Amino acid sequence: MIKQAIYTFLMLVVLTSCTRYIDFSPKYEGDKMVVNGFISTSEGVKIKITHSINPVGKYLYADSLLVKNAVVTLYENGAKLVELPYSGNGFYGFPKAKELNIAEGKKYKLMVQSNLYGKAESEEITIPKNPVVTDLSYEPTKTMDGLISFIIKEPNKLDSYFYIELVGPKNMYYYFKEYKNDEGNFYFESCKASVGHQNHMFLYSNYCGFTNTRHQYLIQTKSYDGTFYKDMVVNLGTVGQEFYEYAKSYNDLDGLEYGFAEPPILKSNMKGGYGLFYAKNAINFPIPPSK
Amino acid sequence: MKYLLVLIFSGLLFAATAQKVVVKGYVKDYFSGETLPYSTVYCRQISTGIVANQYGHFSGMVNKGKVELIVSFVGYRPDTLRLNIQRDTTLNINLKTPSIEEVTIKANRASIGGNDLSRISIPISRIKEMPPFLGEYDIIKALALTPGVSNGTDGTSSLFVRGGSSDQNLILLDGATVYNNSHLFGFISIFNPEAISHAELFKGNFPARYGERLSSVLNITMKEGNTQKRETNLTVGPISSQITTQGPLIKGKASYILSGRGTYSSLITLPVYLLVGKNSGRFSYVMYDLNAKVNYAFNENEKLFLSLYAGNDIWDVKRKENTDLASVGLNWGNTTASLRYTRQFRSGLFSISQLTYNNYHFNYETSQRSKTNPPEFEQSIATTGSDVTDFGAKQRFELSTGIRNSIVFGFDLVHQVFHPDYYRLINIFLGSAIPNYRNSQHEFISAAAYIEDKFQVNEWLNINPGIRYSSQFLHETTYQSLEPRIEFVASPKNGLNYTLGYSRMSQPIFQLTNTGQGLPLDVWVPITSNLKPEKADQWSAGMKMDLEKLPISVQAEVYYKRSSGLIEYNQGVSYVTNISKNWEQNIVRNGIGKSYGLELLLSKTTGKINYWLGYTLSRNYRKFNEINDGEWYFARFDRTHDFETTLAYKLNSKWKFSMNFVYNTGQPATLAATVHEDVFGHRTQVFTRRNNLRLPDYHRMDVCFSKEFLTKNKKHPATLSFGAFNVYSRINPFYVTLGEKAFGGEDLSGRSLGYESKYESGTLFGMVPFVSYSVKF
Repeated sequence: MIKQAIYTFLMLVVLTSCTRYIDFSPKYEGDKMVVNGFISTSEGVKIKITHSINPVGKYLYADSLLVKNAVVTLYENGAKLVELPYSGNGFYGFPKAKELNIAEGKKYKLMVQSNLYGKAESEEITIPKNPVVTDLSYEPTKTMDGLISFIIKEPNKLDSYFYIELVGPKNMYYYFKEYKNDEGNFYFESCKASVGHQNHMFLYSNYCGFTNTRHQYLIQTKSYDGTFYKDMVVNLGTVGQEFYEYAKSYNDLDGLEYGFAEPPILKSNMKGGYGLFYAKNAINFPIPPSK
Repeated sequence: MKYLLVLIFSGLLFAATAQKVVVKGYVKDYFSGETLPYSTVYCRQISTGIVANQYGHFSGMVNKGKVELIVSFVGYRPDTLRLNIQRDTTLNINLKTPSIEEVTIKANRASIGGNDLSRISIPISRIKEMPPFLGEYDIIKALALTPGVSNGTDGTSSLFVRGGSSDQNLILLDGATVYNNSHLFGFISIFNPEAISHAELFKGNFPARYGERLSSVLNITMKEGNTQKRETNLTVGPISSQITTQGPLIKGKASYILSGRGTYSSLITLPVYLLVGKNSGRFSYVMYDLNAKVNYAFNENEKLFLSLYAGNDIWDVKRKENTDLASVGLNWGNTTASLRYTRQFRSGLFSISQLTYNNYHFNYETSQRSKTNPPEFEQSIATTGSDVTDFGAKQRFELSTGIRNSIVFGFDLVHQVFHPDYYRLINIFLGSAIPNYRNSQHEFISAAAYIEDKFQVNEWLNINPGIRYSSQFLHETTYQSLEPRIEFVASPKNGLNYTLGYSRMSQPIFQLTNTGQGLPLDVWVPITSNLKPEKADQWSAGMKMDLEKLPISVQAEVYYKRSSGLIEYNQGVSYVTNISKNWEQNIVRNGIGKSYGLELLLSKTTGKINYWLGYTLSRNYRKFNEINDGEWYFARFDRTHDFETTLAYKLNSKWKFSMNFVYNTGQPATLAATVHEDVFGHRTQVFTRRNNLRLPDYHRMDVCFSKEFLTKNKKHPATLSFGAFNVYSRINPFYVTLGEKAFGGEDLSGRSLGYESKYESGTLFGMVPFVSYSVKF
């Protein structure tokens, strides 16, 4: 009898915890400009400008967030370089890097002015050196994967940051994951950041030692119904510290602690607004079409 | 500082000139023979009195001739002794229970030299008058119902005292330090109420005998065991059950108590596991604690106590999907032991010699094995852990040096060993610069000497100065700290006290936590050659008025505390990050804090209806250069308003009703300041500053009915309790998250055109009914 009562009440204890919607609307700071984009020696400058919204309430996504009438100015080593034209869907940019003479080691800054959302200014960023990649190879496996393998030699400094990214068909599921390096295994979460819902980009800090080691990644090249994916490209690159830290702030916490810990403060290098202006440099490796 | 020393020594000189005899002895329970800690002995002739110590021992001086001693203890009938004392005298005073209606402490508190302000003293019998928490009586949760003390949120056993964090509480179990007082992730505390006799919490005006923590001292005394007859108590509750047995080993000379408690949550989840299927994952939880104490009286002056505690929580989750297997295991626990020898000398000197040992450990292991994706992955295992072990030797002397003066002096010596960052990784690569195994050791010796004086200047003024000198010896360096304490207790008329106090405290150990909840992943770390002890100064002033006709007591106290040398995890750093970097690289240091507040308490502890009403108005801030741009921010457990009441009503000789009501301002929390599209094109909540907003306010009411009766067959005393926690099912947020619903259809790519976002609140407990049954045989 007592045992039955214990079971009943303990089950009640378990069942009574719950999640519900509550009428709770904390104070909101107001909408601000959000400036995201990059600069590279190969792709030029590409910036998207939107505005932030109240976390609580109704809003229409799509067009209503875009900031279309901003004045976006790029500075190089402290001097005005170019005013970036609007190209639609919130994008401003200048894809011809050579025309602007964008180069490694130069410092760049963005200034954005909007009638509705005021002024935002980025911190100064430096374009990192292109990675020196050796022993790059690709081997299809017997199943649906391919194995890409490489060693990065330079820049071999503790404060250099690398990324590997798989660009493939949109809105489709395919995996991209770390396999084995020379040491036989995988990098621990605290030394890397994974980006994207399907982790199609990994970033590494050389603090943990990324250079001069063979790295291997599995790429899913075939869908579960047997169709091969086309136009898959792997980008191997270096990025500025600002991008690594931004991506890392998504991956701050892990496992058991995540549910209880402080949420990560999302890094931003835009004063007066939100967002990230970052620098990158990469080489591209198209995945050979499978037979 | 020099004025403080002058005060201490002038008290001693004053005492040395007086003519007197010593009256000393123990106050005990008449039926069980257990001593009654902190009972009071008041001498009417000289309008002065003594508070017995933790061992129920008192010692004082009176003038030769006729004296009248009034001895009292909460929950016992006071006893008046009329004696003609011509020489030093030893008394063993036995008090009888019940009845609560008769208990009145008539002594003027100033003349007793004690201070109810900044100090909470609760016998376990008092805690059992409150509604239990889900059927479990819990010392920590009962203390959280008093002004200036908070539990934080539901489901935690941490204490937050006057703006302090949970690691700033010195928790002593029979003199041995306890580093983690949580079972079941904080649902219940490790202190089994059936094995505990008394709890005493200092929030400020700390006696010099205590140090090593900034915010509070919680001194818990285990029962000694019935010296007259064998007694067993069995309690069956919804979360755990316990059995306690106690009795004489040698009647009148030696006694024991042995208590065990365990949970059966694994049994509860077993049917779920079997019903849902083995592939869904299996959860198991084992929790137990054992308390044991033996004491032996060599004679009426010498006693030996051996106290042991061992408790462990073992949590294990295994999840299997097809042929993939993932598991997470966590276990943590404390082991404490203390051996104490007490002796009262003819002069009234009372000596306490103590050896202590304690160990706190936790281990966390994750493993993963996958066979689905060829080539086959090997099993990867990450094991992490930490532990702290103390060996201590303590010596304390208590001496009455005059009718109006007594001193306490002694020293503490503790060797502390820490392993804060153990890990072992199998098939997980950290990078060429980082090994797969680490188990660094830190150790230091902490030595402290102290002296306290209780000096009654005249009929209405008591001064209690004290000083503590502590030193920590590390391999590379030594830290020293001089900690003055002083308290003035003025009583211009009977039933009215004013108190003014100051304390400096230092703390040589820290807890790295991202949650503040006292979870086992919180890591204890020590001072190092680069990390100094943290310090705090606290000032407090208060008044207490006893209105005997009503009869109620009213207390008001204000405090201001500032602290320095605080540390925290750096932004975005967690326990896991301690693996790739040394923990000292992951912290921000040199933080400062300030907290201040007003505490009010109205209480009635006699008669059929007992209650207290407590209210705290407070502010609690922290400041680190690396957090929130170096600006002051609200500490996590800041509460602007904190109101609590507890009520017990004796309906008749069998039935009793009790109730708690708690309200406090919502806790500061880091919530999304905005939502925007991130650099990857995803809609993202953006957190910008720590503790930028507040959660909704917290409130709840608990009720309990209990019936005391004799069992039908063998006439054993039994208690049946039932009631409900959070009786009106308030959704008190344990956490909040933003939930959203799509509206307005989809665009060509299938993306929703619009969203409606609302906060969702996760609560641990809605209304939870409970029943528990306890029987003594």
